[in-house]
Amino acid sequence: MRCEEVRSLIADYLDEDHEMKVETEFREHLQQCTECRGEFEQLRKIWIELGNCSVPVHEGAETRAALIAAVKWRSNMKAALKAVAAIVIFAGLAVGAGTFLKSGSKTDTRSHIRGSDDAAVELVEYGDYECPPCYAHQYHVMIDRLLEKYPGLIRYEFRHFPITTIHPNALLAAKVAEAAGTQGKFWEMHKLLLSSHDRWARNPQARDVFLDLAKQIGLQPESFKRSLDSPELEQTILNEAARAREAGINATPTFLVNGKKLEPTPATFDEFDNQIRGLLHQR
Amino acid sequence: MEPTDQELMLAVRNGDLEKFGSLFDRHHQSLFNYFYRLSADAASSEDLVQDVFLRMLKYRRSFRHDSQFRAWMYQIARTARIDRFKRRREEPTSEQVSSLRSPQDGPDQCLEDAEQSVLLQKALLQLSEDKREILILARFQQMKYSEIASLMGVETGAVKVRVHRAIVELRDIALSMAGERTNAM
Repeated sequence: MRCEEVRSLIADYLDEDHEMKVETEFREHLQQCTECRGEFEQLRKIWIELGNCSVPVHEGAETRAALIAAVKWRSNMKAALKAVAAIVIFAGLAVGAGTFLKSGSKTDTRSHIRGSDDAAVELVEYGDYECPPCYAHQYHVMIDRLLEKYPGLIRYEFRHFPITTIHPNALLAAKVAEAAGTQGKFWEMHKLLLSSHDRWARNPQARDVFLDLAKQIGLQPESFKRSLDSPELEQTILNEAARAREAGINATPTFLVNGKKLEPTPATFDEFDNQIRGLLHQR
Repeated sequence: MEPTDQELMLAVRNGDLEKFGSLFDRHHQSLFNYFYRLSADAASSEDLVQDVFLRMLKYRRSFRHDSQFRAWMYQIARTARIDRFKRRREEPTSEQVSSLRSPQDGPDQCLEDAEQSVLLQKALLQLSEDKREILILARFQQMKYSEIASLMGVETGAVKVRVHRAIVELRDIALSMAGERTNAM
């Protein structure tokens, strides 16, 4: 082993959990070469000394108190939101369609989130565009209505869970939504896929239909095709599904409310509304 | 069995904000050490510790089931520090370096060879920001090279090279400072 090589391995050796493939050669060289041994011993001494230096003890009492105050403030904000929810529910206020986007809510094209970040209810949907119950019940329409009914109180997130073993076009459809997302039109495509399933579900020519849908909402065709064919995009979706599987998701649609599965899965808007309203009352 | 950091943070993310106190108790000293070793400024380190925990609270929903808590926390810590520099353009001054407390001052004592350790702490502050940070993460925060690589978005090999360069430079600075001290006596 040459001196240069040995010196480049010193940092490896300093790491306490080191696993060096060439440790024997490294040590043999150090035994034979005075210069390298000197360099190694000096750096090792510095490394050990560094570990002996301490810093002032951090009491942290004041910081902790400030933090707890912040936590309480957030809890109080939730209580205030709950009061607003009660007013909304009992007064039966009708909120105009589409207002959620104008009232400080936001759309996140990467994570596919709608609603307020500080919302009292966090609703997550694991969905598959080719799953018959998903489009038969028109959950995307129910979600629109819930967000309109409880502005600022619900944060909704859509996560892909294509069941590729039984739905031949589910993964491609998820890619279509993501590819539209790269041009800022995830939600438009999301809704279009769910309302046009009769054109593409189980259709061997689904890709042609998807290109047509992309055209319909004004996507740049070449860029859309490139995204659609991107292996990274496919991997992202598959990774998301794998994480869901690890977390115990095994069916679509699955709704989580504040981390817990919504059971039974609501079949109508009224059932969905009752469950959400119940939660808002509890909080 | 004690809940893991990840379990506590997931509970916080899902609305159980009371669990945040436990996370603070577990990590405030280690975060303070990180900032203090980078700056030798206790007051600013204290502010940054608070800032990091408030950011964790604010961005709790970005913590996912597959997130590693420590990596996530240090990512936030690094961003908080960068933001603070942008706002204040503050760097450790020579005054701060020279006012680094000596081991005789009380609780912040070095365990052995105190004089050498203070010299090393001073030398550490002479290093460039990136070299200082990589040594602090590797040596004091006990992060594996692979964890640092993931935090900084580089290959593990690149971390090893940077650690080596940093330790060599630290040695040179410490030797030069020791020489100055001997000459002055």
